[in-house]
Amino acid sequence: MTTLINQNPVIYEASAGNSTREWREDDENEDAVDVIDAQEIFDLIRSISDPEHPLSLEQLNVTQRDHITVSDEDDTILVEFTPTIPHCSMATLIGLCIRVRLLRCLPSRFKVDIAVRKGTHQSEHAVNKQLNDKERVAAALENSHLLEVVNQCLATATSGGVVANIVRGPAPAN
Amino acid sequence: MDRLISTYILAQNDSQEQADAAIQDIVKDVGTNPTKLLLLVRGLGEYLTSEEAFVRSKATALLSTTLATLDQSKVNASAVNVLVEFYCDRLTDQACVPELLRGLLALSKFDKFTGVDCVKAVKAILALVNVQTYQQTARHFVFLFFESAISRHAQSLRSISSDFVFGFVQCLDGEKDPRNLLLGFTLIKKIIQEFDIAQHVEDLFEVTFCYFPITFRPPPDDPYGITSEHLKIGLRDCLSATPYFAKFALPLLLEKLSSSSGSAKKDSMETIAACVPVYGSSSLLPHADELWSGLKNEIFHATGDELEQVALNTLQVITTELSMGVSVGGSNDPVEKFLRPIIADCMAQLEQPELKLAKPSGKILKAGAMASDPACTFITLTTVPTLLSKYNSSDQSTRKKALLDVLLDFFEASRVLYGAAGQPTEHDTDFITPLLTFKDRFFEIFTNAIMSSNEYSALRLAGVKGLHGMILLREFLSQTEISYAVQYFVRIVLEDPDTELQETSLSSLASLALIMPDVVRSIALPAFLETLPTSQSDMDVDTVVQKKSPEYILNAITKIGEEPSLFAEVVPQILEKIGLVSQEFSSTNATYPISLLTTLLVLLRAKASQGHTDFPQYLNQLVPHLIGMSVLPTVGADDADHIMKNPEILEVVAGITRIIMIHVDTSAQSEFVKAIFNIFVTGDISVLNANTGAAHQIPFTPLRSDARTSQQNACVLFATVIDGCRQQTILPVDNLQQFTGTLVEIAVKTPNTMQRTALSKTVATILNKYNKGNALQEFISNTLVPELYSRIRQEQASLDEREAALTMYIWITKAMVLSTNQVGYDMARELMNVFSVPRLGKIAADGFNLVIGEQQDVLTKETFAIMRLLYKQRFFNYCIPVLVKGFESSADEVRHNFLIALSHVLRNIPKQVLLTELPPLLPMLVHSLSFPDPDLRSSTIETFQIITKDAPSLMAEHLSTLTPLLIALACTSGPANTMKVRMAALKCLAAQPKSLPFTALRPYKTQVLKELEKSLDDRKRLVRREAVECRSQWFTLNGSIASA
Repeated sequence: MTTLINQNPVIYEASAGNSTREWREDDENEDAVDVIDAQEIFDLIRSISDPEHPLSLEQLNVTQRDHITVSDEDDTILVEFTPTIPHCSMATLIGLCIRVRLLRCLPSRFKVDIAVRKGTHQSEHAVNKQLNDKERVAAALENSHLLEVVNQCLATATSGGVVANIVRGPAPAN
Repeated sequence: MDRLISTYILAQNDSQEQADAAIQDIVKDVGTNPTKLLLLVRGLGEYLTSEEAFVRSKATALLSTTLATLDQSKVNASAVNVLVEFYCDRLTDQACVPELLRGLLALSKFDKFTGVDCVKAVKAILALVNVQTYQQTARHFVFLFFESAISRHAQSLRSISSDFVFGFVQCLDGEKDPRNLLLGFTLIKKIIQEFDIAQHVEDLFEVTFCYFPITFRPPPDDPYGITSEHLKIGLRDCLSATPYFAKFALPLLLEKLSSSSGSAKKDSMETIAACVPVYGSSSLLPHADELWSGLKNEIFHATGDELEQVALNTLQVITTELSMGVSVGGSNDPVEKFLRPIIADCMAQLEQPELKLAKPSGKILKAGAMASDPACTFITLTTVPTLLSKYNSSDQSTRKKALLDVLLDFFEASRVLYGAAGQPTEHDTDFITPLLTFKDRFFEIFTNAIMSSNEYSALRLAGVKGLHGMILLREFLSQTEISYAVQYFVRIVLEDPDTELQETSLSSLASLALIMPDVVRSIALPAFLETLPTSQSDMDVDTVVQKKSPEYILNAITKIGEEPSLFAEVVPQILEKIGLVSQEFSSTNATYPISLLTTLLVLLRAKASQGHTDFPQYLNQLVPHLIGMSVLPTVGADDADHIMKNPEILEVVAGITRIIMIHVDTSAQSEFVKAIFNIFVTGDISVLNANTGAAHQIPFTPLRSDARTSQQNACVLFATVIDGCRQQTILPVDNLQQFTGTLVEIAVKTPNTMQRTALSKTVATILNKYNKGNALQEFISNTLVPELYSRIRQEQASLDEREAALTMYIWITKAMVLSTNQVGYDMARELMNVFSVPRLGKIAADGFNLVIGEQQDVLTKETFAIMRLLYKQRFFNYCIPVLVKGFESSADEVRHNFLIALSHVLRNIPKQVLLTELPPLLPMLVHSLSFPDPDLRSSTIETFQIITKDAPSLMAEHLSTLTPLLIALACTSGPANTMKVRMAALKCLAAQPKSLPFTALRPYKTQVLKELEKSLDDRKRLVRREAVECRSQWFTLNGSIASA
């Protein structure tokens, strides 16, 4: 068995695939505009699998909703993530997964920045530079082995977060 | 006879039919008269001794076939004896061996085949036949023969026990065919059970274990249906058949456990689990450490839940076995010896319980504790004090929560081992869970966890689960403690803001309601009911802010009030609330009263699905009470506003009436129907008066088209009762035709749509259920239907009246189609003629949904409607050609209605029928996507989605037309492209990569991914989500990224 970088990480409670977003009347209103917000971005990336453990980024507390900043008008998004340990060599790969996921799931008008949360990784600067360099990301994805790993991590992310149902009294009669 | 024999023997390949005919004649001849057997043998004589091997074999085949088919009771003992002798002697003739074996197999089934014969035959086979040199069928005969021999003559075979076992091992050695192996495995098991194998244990073991682990994979078109699972189980049964195997098997199984293949590991663990109870603790002990280290690896570094579960299960079985027969305590106790390192490992992990490996450690301790009383006691006494002190000394709530989770595992183990509360126990009541020692501490820390004002709700959640877990233990908590716990739950449900906590507490109460209804009735139910408002002022925002909404409370009541004694308590309380509320609320503010009544309905439905039998009492109390409440306000002098006149309330009351009605027997129904007719038809409401004492001012005439609207609306209740009738229930009317005719007349005349629909349903029900022996057939086809139809087409009549007639017509069509009455099909055809009538056309087209769709309330299986088998298919087969023809010959503006009707029919048809009939309809379906009708579009797209999944090749043919259409529908929003349409289109596109071959989709990949980028920026979030999902599917289509 190969040794894992972090053998025994701390596990956090995740909301079992459900989005913590509450259902609103407006969700089904044809004319209401739903802006893209931090929760939506979080729902897109929370269930990505960690490359090392069969756990989601949310369970490992790598991604948190509060660490995502979105401005729908300015078309900018900043996603900060926290590696489980400061010397985690998987940080770049995790960042790459988030990058690819957002590339695929967001309209191209957005400028997405992905960064390691300040002070949580030894080579923070290098990782950030790598993740936000278009050419290097594109080059990384030319590598079919790497791409396969990324796709594997993203395979669990397709659910996108289901909206939790709010309590609405007994079911109506038919 | 001789002629037949020679025809058979001399037949060449080209005259095979002749030979077959000959053999059949011979078999028939000898079969009916076994004395001719002698004749046959004599006739075969020259061939059996022929120079040519081929001829000898063929002759033998003839004899064997005959033996296999003839009526063996007529063959005498000496003949059998001679035949056996003859067959055994000839086994030296290699060319004939397969046929000879077949003959011996046939003989072995004869009643007169004695033990002596058997021994003789077995000896001959073992001595003369080198089994593995023959082809599969021949080997199969050998094993079948052994099977037959062992099952019939085991006693005689025991005399040559040692030779037989040894010989058998040699026969099986090298066998590779799965069919033979499967048989071989069952034989090994039988041999182990029947014979003394002491001298051949190792041989037998080797010939068995060499197949472990099974790596067999059946060929894709395997006609024999043997799976690797069959073989695994067969082999496992052999290995676990005797304790003699223990010393050979365990080391090898342990070795395989460290293999890298997941399936081999799983097989090893499952085999160990199966063998352990047979091998016994003494053979396990020497390997205890290795077993633990192997299993530990599987649990701590599990690659999947399944493997982890298997490993835990194996651990539990081993622990159980080691606990057997242990009476002396102390350090030499095998189970303690086994558990000590396990506990040490787990406790080491639990030093930091918030980390990943803590959870599996808890599971390991649980598996051990579930194994046996001594194991549970040992584990509990060694670990619980440490865990408790760790809990006390830690102030991190994540750590505390993780520790509580481990204790929850203990509760569950205890419940499995020592029995659950409130359930008949098959457990030994002498044993009491060792957790009892720590009960007070547990109760304290779990309640503290609940009470902790901490922000970390997971800790409080563990507290709730802990109390619940303790209540479920048999003879654990006292009544007082249970009451306390229930009070905590109630308080959380009523006061706590955290939804997960609320839900867990509520589901705890719900499960307690079933096993301890008393405590729930005395504590939870009153607390909930008390919170419900009884007046308008209670509902005011200021007071409600502090409390939960009434809907929330009622929802909680629906979860706990199902148990009969609890329901009996709920009903009067809710009725009382409604009584109070109805004084004060106006019918425009009905949400709360509706929720109150809906609570009863939901509970009744739950009771029905649980098969409760207390419905009759509610038919006599609850239903009349509710009907009285609904009817009496309509007969007051002034038609003042009243809550019970609200149509939605009436619908709920109708729902309650229906569910009670359909769960009582025919005689109770008949009686009740009589009472209802008395009220609604005769207008005698004195029965209802008696309950409340209120006097009525004007007559109750709900069945008149000129009655008060509120009275007319009450027809809903009448309709429900009729609809709930069983087919045998008698309707108290003299002339059913006349009665039905009157109802139709009222329905067509009335301006009140609620009354009209109710009466249409009633008429449809009556015509469906009471047309027994075509009693009403003539009335329907000659009077009712033509009259209605001419009314629909009557152009000078008012449109309202024509529409009313059409509604009734559609309902009657449904009633007829369900019973596959020919009238129904004719009516459907006439409906299509209405398509071209302005305004009515759309109603008629939508009517197809009613005709063929499943209704929730009326004309269902539950309400005893006559629904013939395959009625949908028959309707479909009739309708589709007519619809297609109508579509083709109609003007454009009418075509729309045909497409709507078609989509209704397609949506409601069983999938299998749909797929076979679909290809010619596809052009029409594609056509309907261009009509600007969102419902039509989305329902058509849903049909396409079904096709994608279940008939991918059909879909593949039309990709070039459909894909651009679907993309366009997904990407553009507009009045005709509602979010429902966009989502349906995206879902349909998303289904393609899962079902269609890559080669078919490849040309569209770039286009789909590119175009759908627009959907990622859809203004509706729900649409964006589908777009993300859809694009993910297409991205992974071949693993490369097109546009990234």
